[in-house]
Amino acid sequence: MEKKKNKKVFLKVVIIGDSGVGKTSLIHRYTSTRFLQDFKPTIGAEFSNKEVVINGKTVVAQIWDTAGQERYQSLGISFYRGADCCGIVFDRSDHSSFENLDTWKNAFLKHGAPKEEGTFPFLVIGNKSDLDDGSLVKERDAQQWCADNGNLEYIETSAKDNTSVEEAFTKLIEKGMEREKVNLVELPDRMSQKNKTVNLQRDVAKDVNRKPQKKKCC
Amino acid sequence: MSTIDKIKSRRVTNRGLNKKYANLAEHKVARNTKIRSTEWHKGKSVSLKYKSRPFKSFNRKINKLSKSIRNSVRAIPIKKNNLQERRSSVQAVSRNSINLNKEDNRKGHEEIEAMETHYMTAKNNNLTDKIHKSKSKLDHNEDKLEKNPFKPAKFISFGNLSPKRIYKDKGAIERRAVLLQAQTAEDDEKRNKFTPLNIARRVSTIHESPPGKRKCDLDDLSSRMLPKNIPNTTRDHQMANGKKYFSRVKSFEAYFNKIKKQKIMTYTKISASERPISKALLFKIISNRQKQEGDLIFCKCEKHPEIFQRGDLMMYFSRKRVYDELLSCAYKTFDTYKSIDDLEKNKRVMDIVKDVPRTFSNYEIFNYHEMIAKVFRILLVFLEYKNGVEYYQGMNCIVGALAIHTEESKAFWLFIDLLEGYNLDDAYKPNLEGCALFTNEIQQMVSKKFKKVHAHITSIGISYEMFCVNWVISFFCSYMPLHMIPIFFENFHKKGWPVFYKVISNIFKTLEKSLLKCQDICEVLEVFKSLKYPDTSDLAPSGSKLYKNCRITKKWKAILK
Repeated sequence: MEKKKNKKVFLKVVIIGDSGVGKTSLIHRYTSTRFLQDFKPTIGAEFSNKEVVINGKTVVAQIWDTAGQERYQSLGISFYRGADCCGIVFDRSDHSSFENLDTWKNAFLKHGAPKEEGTFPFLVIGNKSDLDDGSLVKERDAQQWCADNGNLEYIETSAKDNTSVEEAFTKLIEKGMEREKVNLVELPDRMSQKNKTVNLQRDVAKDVNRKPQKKKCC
Repeated sequence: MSTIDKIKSRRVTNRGLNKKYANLAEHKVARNTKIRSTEWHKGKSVSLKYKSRPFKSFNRKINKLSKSIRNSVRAIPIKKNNLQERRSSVQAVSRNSINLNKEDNRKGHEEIEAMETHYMTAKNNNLTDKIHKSKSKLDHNEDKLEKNPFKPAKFISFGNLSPKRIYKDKGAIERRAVLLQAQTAEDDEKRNKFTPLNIARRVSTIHESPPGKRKCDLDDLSSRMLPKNIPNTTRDHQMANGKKYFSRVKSFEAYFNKIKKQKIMTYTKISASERPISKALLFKIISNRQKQEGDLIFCKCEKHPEIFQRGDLMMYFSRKRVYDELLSCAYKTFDTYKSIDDLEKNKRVMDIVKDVPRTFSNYEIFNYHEMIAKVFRILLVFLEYKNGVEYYQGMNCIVGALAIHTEESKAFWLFIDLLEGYNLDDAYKPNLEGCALFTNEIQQMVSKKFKKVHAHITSIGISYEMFCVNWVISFFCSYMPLHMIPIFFENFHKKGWPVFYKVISNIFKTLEKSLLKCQDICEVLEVFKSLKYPDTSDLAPSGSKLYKNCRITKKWKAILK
């Protein structure tokens, strides 16, 4: 009986932010519990998976790691669509990346086009808090920006020291779960994933299988 | 019909492509020359389209015009009457010699050669005499120059005049002769003032004063820009050259041997609306005589009306020289930044600064200062080159892959030829429009060749952008392991674009079974990920044996066959 209760839930987590902010290393820290300094710049988007148990439910988080350069934002239509929650990352030692938070949020709402623009679960993540020169972006400023943009939550992390990386992701996933409770009626495991995307191609697939059969009959 | 032929034919008849090239009709003429000028485009089927007849007539016109201009310039130093007499005598000798025996014929030829050499020496002597005379005049001009550098002296301004008017102004031609001879002049001071480069700068009237030529050192820059924990020198010099782990790309050398014959680079002025930096552009030599580096020449046609005008003064340079010049320009712009805060405002540069230290950091070669600085310099020059293509993340991978195998300047020009010669710049259009066209093509190819896989994947809900963007924009350089890229480049230089599509079809062939098993988007993408070499230095194996023997390389060898 217990196994039946533990149904798998699929969640799509999208992580955005300026380039060189540490999106990839954050995700890598979370999924494989290691820190690696030099990553290739991500082109287009990359993808990783993790199973977590939250509140007695096993959740499979599909974490989408997107490219940081502004030119790739037009790809968002295919990557942001159907996201359950979104983490916006900025580099605390790089003030310009903090100033770009607005553009990232707007770009996500524009290309992703979620149903509830006002209440869509965002999480603002300030990374690289281990580089303490005294010139970091202050917590007050970040909190104020979050308060101004619809009471978003804010968290400070460091992928290098592994400070509150797990917390950030669990928060993200919990938020996504809450949203799903509101929006989706319970669906079987993989159906929930499939129904988010447009199913036009499915008919094409059947046609391909059918056509040769007809010919044989004739 | 082989698969390559199929792809070829489809590429030409494809409607989407036709539309794509209809947009490019404006640059058609410019592109036409490039395709004709280099023979190694033969593998590419699209190039056939561009051969249009009107261009030939255009070319003839240019030929006629250029001949008339050249004659008008050359004929001055010796009196015309003398010249005609000598020529007629030479012709007479040659006519007589036709009827004689072979030995006599040889003698006749020798006589002609002797005459010609005599004629040439006389010409040169006359020239040098005139130069010595006109030098005294030029000294005045120099004084003027030094006093007010912003007002260009008289001889500089003739760059903007039409050639006919120059012909009338006899003094101008003498002065021009001086300019040509200035390189061989003994006085170092005068050489500094009259090197063709300096003149080009003054002609353009954009540069206020010619700066001393700088060496390509990155020490100041790197101390400011790059992370400090990178070691400065390579342990193994061989390793930096890539001999140890990486097979060399042979076709690169053959390609550059071809190019040596045609020095086609010019270095000219540029419209004032753009940033005050000179720009290099391709320009075809029409005359038969081989130009030497630093030759001054008048512009003969208006291929790029924004930049060239007929009668503009231009000069020929080798590609390496142009690269060095662009690099010095790049340094100049760097000097204008007073602090790092200034620099951070310039996003174009900052993108590169962020990306360069993390290109191929999983390979040992790229963990040393030399290689990183090399890639950094090439990308800076790319920004200066300004051919309408913006920097995309992923270009650093292409440049890095090229930089291992050749010198700096060669790597740069190879990259530019990928963009302009092979039309890879279509992928880097704003808003990724060009990239979408490429993915469309890939989708069509896969849907025809691998019907089952295509149907299965699309039913799961995957769109081709999810994995194709990486392939197209980085030109496979961030997807393929670095040590397998030379094979890819080798094939691409031989056969052109069909190779690119063949690789994709081979990828699908190897992954076909595992793709059909997938039931999620995640699983499909992880199957594609399995062909990737580990991204970070900690996970990647080190040492040549491991590179060669690891599983992924075996798979890729099968794909690239």
